[in-house]
Amino acid sequence: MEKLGINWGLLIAQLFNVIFLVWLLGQFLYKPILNMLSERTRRVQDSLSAADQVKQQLANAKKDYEAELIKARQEAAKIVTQAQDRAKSQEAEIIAQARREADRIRDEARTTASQERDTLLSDAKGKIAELVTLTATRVLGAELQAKGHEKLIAESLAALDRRN
Amino acid sequence: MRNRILTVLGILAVIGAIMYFLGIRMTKDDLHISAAAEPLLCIAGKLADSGETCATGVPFTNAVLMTILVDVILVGIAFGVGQRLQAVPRGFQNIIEFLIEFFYDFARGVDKKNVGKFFALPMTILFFFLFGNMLALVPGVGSIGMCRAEAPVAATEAGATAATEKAAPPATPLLVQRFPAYCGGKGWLFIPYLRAPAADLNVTFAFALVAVFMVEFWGFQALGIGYLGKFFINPFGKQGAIMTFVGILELFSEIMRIVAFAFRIFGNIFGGEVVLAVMAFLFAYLLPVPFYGLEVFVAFIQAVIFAVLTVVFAGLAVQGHGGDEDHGHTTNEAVAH
Repeated sequence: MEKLGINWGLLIAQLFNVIFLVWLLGQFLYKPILNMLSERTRRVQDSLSAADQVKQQLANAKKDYEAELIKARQEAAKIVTQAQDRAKSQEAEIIAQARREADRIRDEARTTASQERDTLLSDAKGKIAELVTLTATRVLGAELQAKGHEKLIAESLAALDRRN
Repeated sequence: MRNRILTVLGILAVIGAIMYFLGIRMTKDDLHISAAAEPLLCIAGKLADSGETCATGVPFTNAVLMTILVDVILVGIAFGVGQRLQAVPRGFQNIIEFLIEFFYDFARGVDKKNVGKFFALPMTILFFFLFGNMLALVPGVGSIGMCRAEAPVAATEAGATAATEKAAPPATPLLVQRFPAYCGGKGWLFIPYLRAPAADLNVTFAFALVAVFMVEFWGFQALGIGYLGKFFINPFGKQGAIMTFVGILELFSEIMRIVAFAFRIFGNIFGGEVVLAVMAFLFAYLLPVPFYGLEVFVAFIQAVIFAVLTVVFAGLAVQGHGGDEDHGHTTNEAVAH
């Protein structure tokens, strides 16, 4: 014991030293550091999950935006097709109207023309009758003279030509 | 960086060679090895005639001084780092956190449930011996000290009185006299001021006693009086008479753990110091260098072994012996990994 240096007083002092050290380091070094480590782990996990959440939200927002965009595009296309349809029907209507109008004008024109022709014809008939009467009277008159009635016929025919 | 290291090594080698040829080297008389820590002074008593122990009173040894130094460093770390923790660690806090977290993870691997209870003891063992052993390797720790007149036994043998020896140390060159660890040869004893705490059996026994006592305490705490069932097995029970003998062997090994703990680290660290001293004696300046590197490794590994064994023994003590609980525990561990 003497050669190995074991001394009861020293041994007991060292025992107290060990107990003191274990207590003090446990209380003031390991406990706060382990707490800090677990706290740090917790915080890192929290921030990681928060980042995930934000990413998820962002993805959702993008998806919403895209869906909205598609919807808007569809709406626009619908409006355009509607407008096109409407325009087409209007066009047809306008064309039909125009055609109707044209028909009407043509009919009118036709009726007026026929009326005019009728009146002309009746006028001409009257004139012809008049001329015939005139010619007849003249022919009859000349017949009476028995001379030159061919000349008269030609005259009256030329007069007719001129009138017509 | 590499160049700088090589430059420093080269300069040291040149200085060493010069000092070697000037005759400044260890002699046989300087090779003083004591398994016991030498007292620097005796509290409430006086030195024995041999100068190596205290005749009365409590010796204040160089190992005690070193223990106080390590204590101061550890307490300084506790209050400097542990009480001023920053959420974003930097510098020294990183190192301490790394050590604690690394060992905590290991201890949790051994026993997940009780790690909080017994973590402080092995961690303190690791810190104390790590710092103590590493500081003991700092140049000057074992080589700066005081000179004291040696045992008068030698003096009487020589036929001269101790007083005359004391009065006239042998004449040596002035430069050599001033060199550390030189006390003028025969009749004088060199007492270093500092000594590795692990190279003092009082320190290692104190740690071993606390460690084994706490292991047994945790065993009783976890299993109650049934803890004794590990050691005292009914020879007429279903386990048989052989297990009774095994149980008694277990009890014996449990007690021998104190001695094993104390002498393992003491032997390694003290042996390392002796090896360094002998190597310095055989071929000064050059031969100790590889052994010095080896001692750095031993200093680290012995501290780790002491701490790891304490954790393992504690983990074994709180486990139930045999039966379903043990299986459940091992499967839990397997799942946890």
